[in-house]
Amino acid sequence: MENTRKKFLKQLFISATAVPVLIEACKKSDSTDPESGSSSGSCTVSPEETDGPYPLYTSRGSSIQRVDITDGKTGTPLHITINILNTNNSCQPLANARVDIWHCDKDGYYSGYSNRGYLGTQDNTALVFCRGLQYSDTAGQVKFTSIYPGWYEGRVTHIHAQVYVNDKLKCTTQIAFPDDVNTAVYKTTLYSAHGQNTSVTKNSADMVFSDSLSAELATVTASETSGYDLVHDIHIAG
Amino acid sequence: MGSSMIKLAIRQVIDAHTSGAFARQVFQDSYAEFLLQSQVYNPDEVFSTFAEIVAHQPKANSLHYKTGFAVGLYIRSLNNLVPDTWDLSGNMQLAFEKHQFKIIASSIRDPQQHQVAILYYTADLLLHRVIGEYLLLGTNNSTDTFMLKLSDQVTICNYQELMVGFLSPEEEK
Repeated sequence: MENTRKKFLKQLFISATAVPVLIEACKKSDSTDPESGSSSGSCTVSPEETDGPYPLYTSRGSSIQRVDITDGKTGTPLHITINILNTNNSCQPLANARVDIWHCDKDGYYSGYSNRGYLGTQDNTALVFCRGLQYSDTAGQVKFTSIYPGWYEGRVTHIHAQVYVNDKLKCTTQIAFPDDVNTAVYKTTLYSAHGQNTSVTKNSADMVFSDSLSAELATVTASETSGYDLVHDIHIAG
Repeated sequence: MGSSMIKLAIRQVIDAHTSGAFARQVFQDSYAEFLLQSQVYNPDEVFSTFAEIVAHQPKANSLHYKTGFAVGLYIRSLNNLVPDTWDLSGNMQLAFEKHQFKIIASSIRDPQQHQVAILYYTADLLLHRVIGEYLLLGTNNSTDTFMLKLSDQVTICNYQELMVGFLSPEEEK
């Protein structure tokens, strides 16, 4: 009883960086389809699990473990910083979490498979653009260099993300961009051929973000160098 | 009949018994990646096998390419040469221009059931003729040839009859 109470009180006294007292942690399977819809939800504490057969798996053969995920794709530069925070440890940064992100190119096409869009069908089976994975550092942080995503019919601009800790999937989520930044970027030369997203005009109308935007909206600001800086916190029950 | 322009698809199956450093790396890392990537389609681990997961959730077919990313660097280390395609002289291997990774079978509870395939696709090759169980292959810019033994793992996936004079139909216009 005493330990439970101490743990509860400890969780109340978290850092004074404007983080609310009770953080909902992203759960591992809000959707069975990470490509089309998921959102963060209530915290579920992971059960005790045995190690997998390859506890030292570090993705060393992966063609997407890199910081620069552009693979030469043109687009407005986007410098991505994701902070992994552990709701089971007063929202402190969590090191060595594997963070996978993926998003479409400026025209709304994904790498890895054949997909249709406003430019027709593209067979991107052999390509890995705009896909990356990193393991978080001691500050709980991963960084990627990418391009500002485009959009495709039926969805607002987004980045997919998954977080694994000790070989367990902790979180499947998506990251939203501020509406006004989307509007500004899609007016620029590189994006104007596709133009504004007329299928879903704002985050509040999106089928994924409409009920969870506050947890999934990233902070996106103009970069000192070029393009934009995106910073986002993902809370997981580590 | 003159030569034809073809593309070949060569299939390499890797399972728990396949020997060689490349195969071991692909087997181990693709299995570890499968265990990670399959979780979103199999919450609470209700299903054991890849087949069951896909049957329940067809979108789990994305596991083929998502798992394939995990061994991309090993495939890159092949320097675009298809494994085990030495010609009879032992001097040359076939080159591939793209590849595809497939999970044939797997189980989250039994790594011995894990079986994957890498499909290697060649660029255009001239098929001069078939000699016994060998394809006599060549290229447009040379009279050198390559004899490749036919097997269940070798398929012709693209075929164009060439007109007399070895021009492709496009060049003839």
